[in-house]
Amino acid sequence: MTGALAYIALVSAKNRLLLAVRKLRNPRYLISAAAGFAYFYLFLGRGMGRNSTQFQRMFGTSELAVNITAGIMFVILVAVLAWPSSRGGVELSEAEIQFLFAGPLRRRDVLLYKFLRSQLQIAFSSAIAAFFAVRSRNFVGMWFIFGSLSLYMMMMEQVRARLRALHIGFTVRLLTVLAILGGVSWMAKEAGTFNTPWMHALLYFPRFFALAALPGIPLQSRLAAYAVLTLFGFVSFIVAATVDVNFREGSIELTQRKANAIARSRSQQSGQWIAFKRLPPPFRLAETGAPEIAIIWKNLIASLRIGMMPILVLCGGMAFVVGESFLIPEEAAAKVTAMMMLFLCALVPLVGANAIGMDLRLDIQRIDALKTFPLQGERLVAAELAAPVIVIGLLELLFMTITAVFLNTRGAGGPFTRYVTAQHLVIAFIFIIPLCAMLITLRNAGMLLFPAWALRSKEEPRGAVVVGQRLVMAIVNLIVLAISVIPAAIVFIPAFFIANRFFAGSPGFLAIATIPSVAVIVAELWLAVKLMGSYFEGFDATTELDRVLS
Amino acid sequence: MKNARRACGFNREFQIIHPAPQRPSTPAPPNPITPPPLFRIITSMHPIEVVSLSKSYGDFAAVRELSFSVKEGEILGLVGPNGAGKTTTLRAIAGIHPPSSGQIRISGFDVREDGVEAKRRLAFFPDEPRLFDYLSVEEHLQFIGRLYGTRDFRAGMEPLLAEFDLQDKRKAMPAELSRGMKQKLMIACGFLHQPSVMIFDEPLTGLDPLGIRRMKESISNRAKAGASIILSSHLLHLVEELCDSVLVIQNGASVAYGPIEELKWRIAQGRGDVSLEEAFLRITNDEVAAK
Repeated sequence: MTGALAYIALVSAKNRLLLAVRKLRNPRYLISAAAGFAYFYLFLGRGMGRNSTQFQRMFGTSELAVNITAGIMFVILVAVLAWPSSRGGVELSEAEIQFLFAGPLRRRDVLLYKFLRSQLQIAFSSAIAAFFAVRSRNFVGMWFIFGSLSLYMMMMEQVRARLRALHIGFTVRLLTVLAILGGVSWMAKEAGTFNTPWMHALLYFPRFFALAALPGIPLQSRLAAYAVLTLFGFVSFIVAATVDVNFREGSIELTQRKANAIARSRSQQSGQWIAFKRLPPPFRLAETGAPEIAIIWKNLIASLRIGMMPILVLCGGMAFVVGESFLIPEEAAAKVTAMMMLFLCALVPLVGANAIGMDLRLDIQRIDALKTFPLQGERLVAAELAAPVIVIGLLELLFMTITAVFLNTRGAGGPFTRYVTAQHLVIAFIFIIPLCAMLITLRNAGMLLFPAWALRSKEEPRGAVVVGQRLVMAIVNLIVLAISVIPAAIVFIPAFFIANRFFAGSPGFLAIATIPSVAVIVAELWLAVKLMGSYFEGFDATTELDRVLS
Repeated sequence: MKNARRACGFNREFQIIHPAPQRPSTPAPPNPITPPPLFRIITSMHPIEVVSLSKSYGDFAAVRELSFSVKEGEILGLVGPNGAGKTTTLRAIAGIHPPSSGQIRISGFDVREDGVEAKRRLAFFPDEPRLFDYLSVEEHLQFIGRLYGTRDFRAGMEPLLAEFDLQDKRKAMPAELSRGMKQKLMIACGFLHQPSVMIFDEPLTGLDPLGIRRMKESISNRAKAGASIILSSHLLHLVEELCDSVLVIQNGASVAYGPIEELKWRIAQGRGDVSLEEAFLRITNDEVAAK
């Protein structure tokens, strides 16, 4: 039976990996993945590698490094006791519950299956941790650590459930953990050092995690650490398999919670989660006229009913800043307020482009319906992009107006009155809107070009592969954004010098210097919309989306 | 070329195109007259024309060289076993995915070349209603009305709300509707712009008995009013009841195409009457099920 379960777990892991890798047969996905990983390696990996070398130089394999790591592990191992979940059981998929619990399996078979099934995720986490922390040298050590920790967590879930059955609830567990950690801190403070015999005793076991993880540990010590961690994992497994809890009920409950969380996440992504469903449309839709207006109207309604929460959060932030400026009349407070207002103005396009995604990102799950609309691809894409740009533009205009009024009436003084003039704010507004449109276009292009990466799959919405895909998507977005602003930056340099030569001191100086760059971004946007429209018309939802939407 | 001619609709006599290999096949009646050019022109005016449609996904051919046409007021039943390529065919006709090869014309407009004009005249009803969750029933109709440039859409909306029992639900959001209600709303949206071509993929899924009856009446009335309709369903009694002709596909290819009565007559081979279900099972070579 164990062999069969191991076989299922390994085959499932292999198939999940293959499905992700198979996407790379499509050149679009392959090139993007290569670009993303190259970026990872060149900008993050090497940097982290340098940091790790510095870390090693600073601490080496010193006792201090081992003790710090052991201390952190001690805190983690103890803190798990205070984790709120105490249902017992393990988190499985609905299909696994159906098949495993209906079959003649013991608890330890299910636990073993769960452990084997999680190996792909553990391997991915180990690779990421090794990559960022100490490069690839200690991948095996990381695997031992994450593997034994996963078994420990499994055990602690059953232990917490058992404690609950004995009427020892969350509060008692939390207080116990706080007492242990507080007591250890107090004793260390009293002794004036961590270097005491009892502290060594306390950290004796967690030190093995440090020995498995840190670079420069002698092979013998490392192998000993692996052996101890394996034993630790084994003991955890045995305890998890024998603690007297209602394992099946707990597993079903945990699985149901997971399924609900997935459903909620998917419904948020597809726009089914509506916060303000009774908000009226922003304007009355005339019966005749350009059909694109209908798309904009629909998406503005979505922005009001679904995307109102981030808008309210931003507006609440601004209202707080403005209110606070009236309560504290000092000049220093006015400066802080001005700074916060400018920060919020800068935040709106960045946050808005992500949070107000009532465009193709929302509609991609209804792409079949979109494709039957009597609209050319580019017109449909442009109409889809318009609503978030309008919302963010209006929000930005509101924030900038408030900021300009504040700066001119309250007189924040210093650099604010000198450099942040109404003229500057208008120019910033002219520049920010196309830039924001560019951000939104890039996100939509990502959705259209890589839907299999951008959308969450039904079965594996939080899997390791998905995390990797998301990271690659974010990095590709960043690279394309950086490339897309290069032409505008190049145009800005001569435009600035020309404007400086002929219009220096004139109120139109900044506008003349900026508008050519803005025009370049607008031209890029126009080209992007054309390309996306043409791509949309040839887009075959069956091959791209069926796996994630079915 | 043979398929292309068949597509023009000049020979609507029933044909088993790929007869079952084990069974002695009924030969397709020979085409006695080559249609004159004028006739070709006239037949090429059929609202739905599909000529040599193929759709492949990599090495897998989902639809192969499919040709047929639907006249004004005609209802064509599209039937076939699971995975036969019915939905792929319908989605290609609706312009949802581009065909690998072949031609699809809606009211004379090529779906690929002149997609916008073709889509203006078309309504596609998928088996799974995908509505905009943030729009109410009325807003859905308003949105579709503007999108298709329906003049005086309010005048058209009220009878549709009445026809589909949605008057009391006009302010409701999709989440507040049952699956059947969602299906009705989707169909009401499709009917709003009075399309001349309608494509239904399993239209009765999720409907209650009264809803089924009304839906059948609605489809039938639209056909009587001159709409050309393709109806894909596994409910063969529905196809038999509503459709004038039938296209049976298997493994992506057409295996039988023609008037339903002709199909049944051919299958019965003069020995009494057979139901469409029996005819279908014999054609698709499912002898065990037929027994």
